[in-house]
Amino acid sequence: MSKMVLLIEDEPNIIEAINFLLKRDGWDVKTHANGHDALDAIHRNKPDLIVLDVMLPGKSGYEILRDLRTEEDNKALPVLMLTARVQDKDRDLATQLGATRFMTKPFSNAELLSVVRAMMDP
Amino acid sequence: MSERKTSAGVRIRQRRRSVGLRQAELASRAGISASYLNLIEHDRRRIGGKLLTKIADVLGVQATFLSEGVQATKINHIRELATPLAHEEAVQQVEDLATRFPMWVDFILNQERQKRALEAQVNALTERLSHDPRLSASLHDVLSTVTAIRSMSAILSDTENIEPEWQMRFIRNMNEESLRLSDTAGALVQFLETDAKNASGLLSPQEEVENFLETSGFDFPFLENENDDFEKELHALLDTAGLSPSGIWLLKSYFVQAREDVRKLPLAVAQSFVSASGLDPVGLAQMAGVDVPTAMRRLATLPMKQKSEACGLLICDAGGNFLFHRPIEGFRVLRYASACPLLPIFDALHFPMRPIRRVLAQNTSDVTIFDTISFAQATESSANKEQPVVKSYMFIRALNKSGANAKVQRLGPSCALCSVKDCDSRRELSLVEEGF
Repeated sequence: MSKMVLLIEDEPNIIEAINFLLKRDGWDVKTHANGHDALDAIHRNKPDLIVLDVMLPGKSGYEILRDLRTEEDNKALPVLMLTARVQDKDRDLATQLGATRFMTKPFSNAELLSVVRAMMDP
Repeated sequence: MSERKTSAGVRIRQRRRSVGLRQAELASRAGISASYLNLIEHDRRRIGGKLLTKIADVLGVQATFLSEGVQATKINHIRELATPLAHEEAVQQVEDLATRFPMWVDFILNQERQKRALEAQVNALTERLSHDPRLSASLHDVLSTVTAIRSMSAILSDTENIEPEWQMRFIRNMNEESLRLSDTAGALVQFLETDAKNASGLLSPQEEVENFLETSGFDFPFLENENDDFEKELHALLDTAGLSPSGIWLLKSYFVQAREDVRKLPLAVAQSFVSASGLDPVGLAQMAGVDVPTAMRRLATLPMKQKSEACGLLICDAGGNFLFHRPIEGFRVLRYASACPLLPIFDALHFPMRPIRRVLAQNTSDVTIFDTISFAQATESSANKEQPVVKSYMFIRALNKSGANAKVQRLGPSCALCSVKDCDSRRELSLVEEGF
């Protein structure tokens, strides 16, 4: 059975592109488009890896990550954060809150696939 | 008549007329009788010292302008500019410079004016680029769109045997994102090229309201009328103001507060006080039996025709966020960037109900100084009785430097634009400091 990626991102065309890429690469993909009930989506889907955008409606990716890491079962769940922000303080914040990896937009498809493969098979 | 032969009395009369003050009004504000002022203006009495300073203060000029004319004022100005920067001997040579090379003096003063104008531009641009949430949101939008286009175009070019329906889907999506990118890029260019005051669609609701009020000169007769048409007139004005929904909401709140201020402090009372005592909000509050913030709002929003000198007002909430800003020329306040923590409006939050008076100057080379009074007050919240609403107010008046006896505190609009050295409150390196 394929491992599952939960993509939490609100931009529809980015969702479609990443969805296409990851499925072609052999991963099972679920998507969720808002921050407000993202934690519920994580609990419901029980993904093997989360690709999490920072700027989301309702609740930011940082807040979702912070809350996720307070859950015993999800302390070690791999999380790849995506953001358009490029300052060191944003990278530091993501690391501090427990992001496994951090990628800035725009990213290359090859880079995204490479990182997901590495995170799924460390 | 050459400048040297024009007397102080004549200069006083000329200046008084140019600012639209009647003799009785100037006399009253200077603390002398109208007949005595008349004698001074016709050179039948000499004038100097404290009285000259007081009259200069009321007329908004330096005392030397009245006593010795423009040339002496220029010399003083150059001397003030040079003092923090130049060797003492050079400062003493200023008068010689002015006498032998008057065109160079004009050139130096012109450079100073240009420098201030450029500093104002830098302030505005720094604020926009660093902290404007609309710019930040637009740039984020651009990056998200570019990400989608980049990803989809790579899929189309790199994926062998891509199904036709996916191909069409990605081509259609790319077209959509391209259109969105072109709109966002166009709006960004417009934002960066256009002066914020002229681009009302790009202003924050607070800026919209402040621009609207400033453009109207804060002159709204319906506010002062005692009839019952206030609601009707207000709605008519809101309908034609041309602001965003948030701007309309804020403007309505402004007028509701202003109407309450008018009820507590009728125009005739405010005018009479200003004529007699000038722009003194603490004095006005005591005389009229109102709170200091009411007096501050009333004075700051009186139309200029009701007062002869400009004043500014800054209001912030308990979090230090600026809620309202009536600017005064020369005193820069950055709306988005973090303001200087030394501003007394913030100190007042720690000492509510206590007026805090400070004389301020922005940066080391500025010659304009400002008399400020800050006052914080807590009012009961209708929504949450246990947590009052705290606001702090800072009333700002330009001060004639020769009249300033109090110690002047120097600060910048923000750390990035502040040239004050050795400040324990500095948060970041200054753009204007040498060696940055």
